Amino acid sequence: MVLLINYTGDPLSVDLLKGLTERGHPARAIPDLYRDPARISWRLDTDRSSTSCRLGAGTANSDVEISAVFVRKSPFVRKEGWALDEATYVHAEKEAAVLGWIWGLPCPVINRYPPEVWFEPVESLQFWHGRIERFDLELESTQEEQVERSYPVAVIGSRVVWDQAAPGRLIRINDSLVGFAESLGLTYIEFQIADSMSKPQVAAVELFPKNDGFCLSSRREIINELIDCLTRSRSSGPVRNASDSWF
Amino acid sequence: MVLVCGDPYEPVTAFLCSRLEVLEIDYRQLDLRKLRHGADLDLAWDGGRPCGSISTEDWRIEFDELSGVYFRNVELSESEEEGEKVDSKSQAYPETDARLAAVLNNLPCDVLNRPSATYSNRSKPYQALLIRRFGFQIPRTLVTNDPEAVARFFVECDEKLIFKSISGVRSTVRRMTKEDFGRLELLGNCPAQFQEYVAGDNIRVHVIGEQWFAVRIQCEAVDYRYAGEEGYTLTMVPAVLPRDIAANCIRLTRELGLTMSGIDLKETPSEEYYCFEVNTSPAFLFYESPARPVIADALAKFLAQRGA
Repeated sequence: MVLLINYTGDPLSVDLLKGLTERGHPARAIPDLYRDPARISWRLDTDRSSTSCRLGAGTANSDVEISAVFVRKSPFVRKEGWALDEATYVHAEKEAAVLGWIWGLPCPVINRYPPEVWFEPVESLQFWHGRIERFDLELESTQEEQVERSYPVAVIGSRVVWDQAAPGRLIRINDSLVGFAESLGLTYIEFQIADSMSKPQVAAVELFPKNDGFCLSSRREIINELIDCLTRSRSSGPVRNASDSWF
Repeated sequence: MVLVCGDPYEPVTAFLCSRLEVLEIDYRQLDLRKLRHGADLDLAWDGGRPCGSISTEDWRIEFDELSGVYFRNVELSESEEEGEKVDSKSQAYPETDARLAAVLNNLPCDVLNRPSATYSNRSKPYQALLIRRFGFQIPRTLVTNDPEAVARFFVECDEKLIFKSISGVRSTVRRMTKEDFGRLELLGNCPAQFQEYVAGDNIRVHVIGEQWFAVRIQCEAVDYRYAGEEGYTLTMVPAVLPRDIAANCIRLTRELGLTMSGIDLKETPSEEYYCFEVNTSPAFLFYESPARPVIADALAKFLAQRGA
């Protein structure tokens, strides 16, 4: 079963869930892995790692075989009546638990986020400057007088999907975009690319993609690519460390 | 030139600066509390490397003058700032901090530690996955929100179980007793981490580059950091590590993208080594002898690129 965790009903997740189901892949959306009725236990020892989970009332433990996981970022939620520090603590605990768990899974996970971006989502483009340049990309210049419009592009594994309106000349940076994503160990990233007079420029990096700036056909293509990544028979384990075995 | 980034009044940062002065090592201090208002970055990029300088009203350093940077982030202390911090939008780096983080993450000199590498211990089980690949045992661990799973694990571990936070927030380690079973229903609100209790001596290892400094902590408390509060005595003596364990500590530090770390080990009576955590911004003062501050001095010399 494919699990969509931290599910918030956002359009991307809704489309993905629908697509998986239509293609005959059992899938389940879980808003919170660690809140009733979901019960999840992750055992981690020196030489093994295993999960048992019950996803809803009446489902037996260990019956769910997890074939892939699609990860969203859970929003901070402060339950009514909870003190801020209590809510903060619970949020931190759940985020820490999810991060460890997704890195311990042997099945495909989109995305297996590195801690530095999982715990501190980055909005500033300046943060990425060094990495952007190392992949022969250019940051959008605020001093450019004539910056044409920008176009969304998604990287899913080794595939790059541009919005259909994007000019063909922009595809020359595809390898760089894929390299950028791979350097972070991420399967799925979105960028906004500004079509400047001199060179395509990165106007935004979105590590928690939304799939909402694309035309319909591109959105569908992205969903199909995500489904393929999640349901490939060969498991794609963590990419950050070579020759690893999580068992 | 050494750059020290942190809160100048925070004890670890302040002590490092005092040792830099004693050792007559030139350094400049960047007060991260005043970053947005009190520092300028003159920044350009060349092939992914930052070029330029950082300056305050008192000094200016070119990046290529730096021999090493010590970075110790400041904790938010104001409740209003904490309220802002947990808002999902405000969790991102503010612009000034993002530029400084980008510089520190990409400077060619040693940075202890680069900001991007300091997040791994916000998830103890995430770190444990890496730790066990470097020759260390990890305790049998259960992360769960299921009371029944805890009950079974309690039996499996012969009723010798501890529980602690998963994230490091409120990270006191406590021994689980049968009286705690009445509170397991609280797991419905929040998961917790349970581990088999491992008997033995705690050993804290500080790694700085290729050097290591180990201290054996002899204490009956479950969490020696709170020994005094709980009425336990505590003794710390220098420790000698087996060569392979020392090498594993250095490799593990490097694998986590760190140059400096504080590694929590335990040596069992049968001389097995368990590793619990790698602290990415270690508060080494607790383990330091004021009369002979070997860790601080090694850190200062490393930053200055002087020999040990």
